[in-house]
Amino acid sequence: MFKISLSQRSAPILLAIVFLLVLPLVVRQEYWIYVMTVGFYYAILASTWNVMAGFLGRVSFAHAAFAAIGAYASALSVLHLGIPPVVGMFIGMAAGAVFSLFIGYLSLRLRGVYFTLSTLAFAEIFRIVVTVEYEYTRGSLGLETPGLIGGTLTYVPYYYIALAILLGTIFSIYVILNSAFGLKIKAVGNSEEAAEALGINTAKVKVIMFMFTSAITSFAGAFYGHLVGLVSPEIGAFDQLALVIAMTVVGGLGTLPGPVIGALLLEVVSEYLREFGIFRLLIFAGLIIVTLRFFRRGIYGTLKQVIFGG
Amino acid sequence: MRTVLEVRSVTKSFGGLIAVNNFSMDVREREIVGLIGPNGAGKTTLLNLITGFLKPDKGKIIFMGEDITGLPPHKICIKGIARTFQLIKPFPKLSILDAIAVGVLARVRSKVEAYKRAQEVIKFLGLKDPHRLCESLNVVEEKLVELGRALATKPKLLLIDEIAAGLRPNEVEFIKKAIRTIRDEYNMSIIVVEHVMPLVMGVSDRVVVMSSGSKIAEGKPEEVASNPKVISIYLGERRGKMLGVKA
Repeated sequence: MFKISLSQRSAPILLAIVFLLVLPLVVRQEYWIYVMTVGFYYAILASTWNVMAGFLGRVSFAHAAFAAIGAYASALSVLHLGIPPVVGMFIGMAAGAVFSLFIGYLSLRLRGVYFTLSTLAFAEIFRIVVTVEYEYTRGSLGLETPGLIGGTLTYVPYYYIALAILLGTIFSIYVILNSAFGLKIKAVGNSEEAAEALGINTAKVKVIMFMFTSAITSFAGAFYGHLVGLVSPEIGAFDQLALVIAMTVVGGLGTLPGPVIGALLLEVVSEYLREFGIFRLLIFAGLIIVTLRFFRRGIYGTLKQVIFGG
Repeated sequence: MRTVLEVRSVTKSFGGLIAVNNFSMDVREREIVGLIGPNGAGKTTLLNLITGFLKPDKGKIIFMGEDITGLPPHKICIKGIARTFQLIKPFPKLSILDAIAVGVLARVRSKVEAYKRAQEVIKFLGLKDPHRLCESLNVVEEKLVELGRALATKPKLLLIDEIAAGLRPNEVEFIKKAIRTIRDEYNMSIIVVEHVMPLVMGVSDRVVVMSSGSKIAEGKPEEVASNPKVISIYLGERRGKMLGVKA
């Protein structure tokens, strides 16, 4: 019998971080650096979606929509106000915070499935408005946005920026979940009524976390817009949401590393499956079903069980 | 003795059904009040009204001289009323220690302090191995954690909803002792809603009998037990067996 010490537990995490830091130095193909950068973007979305779904038990269907809100808010302010894209990203984040406060305040006090339905309705409304308001958004053609860094021909800086945002996101989630407030979050996720009876303002906890996760998602979405150079309603489309859900579930719902593992893995795999086009979603849906049926803890949870026996 | 809780002419109906009908009662400092009545009498509804899970249609709830009618449950908990649930609502994925620390957080901000006080509650209740997940506990342990969580919020008034249901006689005896010790050590008032007669009769200073949403009797346990109205409405023929009293 020996206890897993902190260093033993954090060793794999440090190793993974070092691996991701040196990866662009080893893999010198721009294409794969780009794929990994997009993978980081999805990992941020999956990690934040996982906080709501995996720890608070609330499923948001507006997660991809919030990425699109951030992307549009940043792109529009850069194009019309002439501000640098970095500032635009923070405007995108603020837009996500404002919208999520609005939806969260209206729907998170409702019980059960109503929150999910409200986010679904919101995501649809947002998509339609963006598509119809051609004058401002150029509809489904999309807005061309300047890159984050002018004049660069390589994706390596984007790679490191995305990695930094991802690490910052996971670190803040880790700190929150391990704080006194985090214990309240887990209590709400386990039983809302019991948490309420024990003096926890459950509505407040949910709204704060919805704002926090949505704002980060919008920030990441704004980054994605400047990475790709084109902001279209596609960013907020349902298949993007489905992809994020698949990544989280396959990686390990309710764990911290799970969504990151799932996101990077599925993003790389989906590059190999590119020729299948939209049918990739079918494969991912199948993966979700297989995971839920046979490995409920996802890749990370299952590995942890096999290695540490618990 | 000071009055801790006053329920003043409270009425609550669901559609056409009047669950609690113009009901009044009070609880004094350090008093254990037993609340009994047949199934559907409105006992749990009354607890839900006191703790803010339901809002009364009419009437007022006064706690420590303050009108708390219509406040949300978390605010009422902070004011000093804690409860357990009849159908227990555990935190399956939290450890015993975490679950009870959640209760402590109603009073303290620091997580370290919360765990320290949670350990005291765990020791007091005699729970073993506090790092076990709540989903792995047996019924008695689950109920003790439920009680411990409520205790951890340091209430002035504790509402215990049918904690003895499904427990063996020796376990009921243990709970009975625990309730008395809680009152004596933590200096609180307690309402015990219960079907298990040996518990409620053995532990209460005063018993309130509810039937169809109204109060039909009130008094010392032995007075209530021999009240013919109570016997006919609630206890029926099995009175002797259940109470061990001769009518």
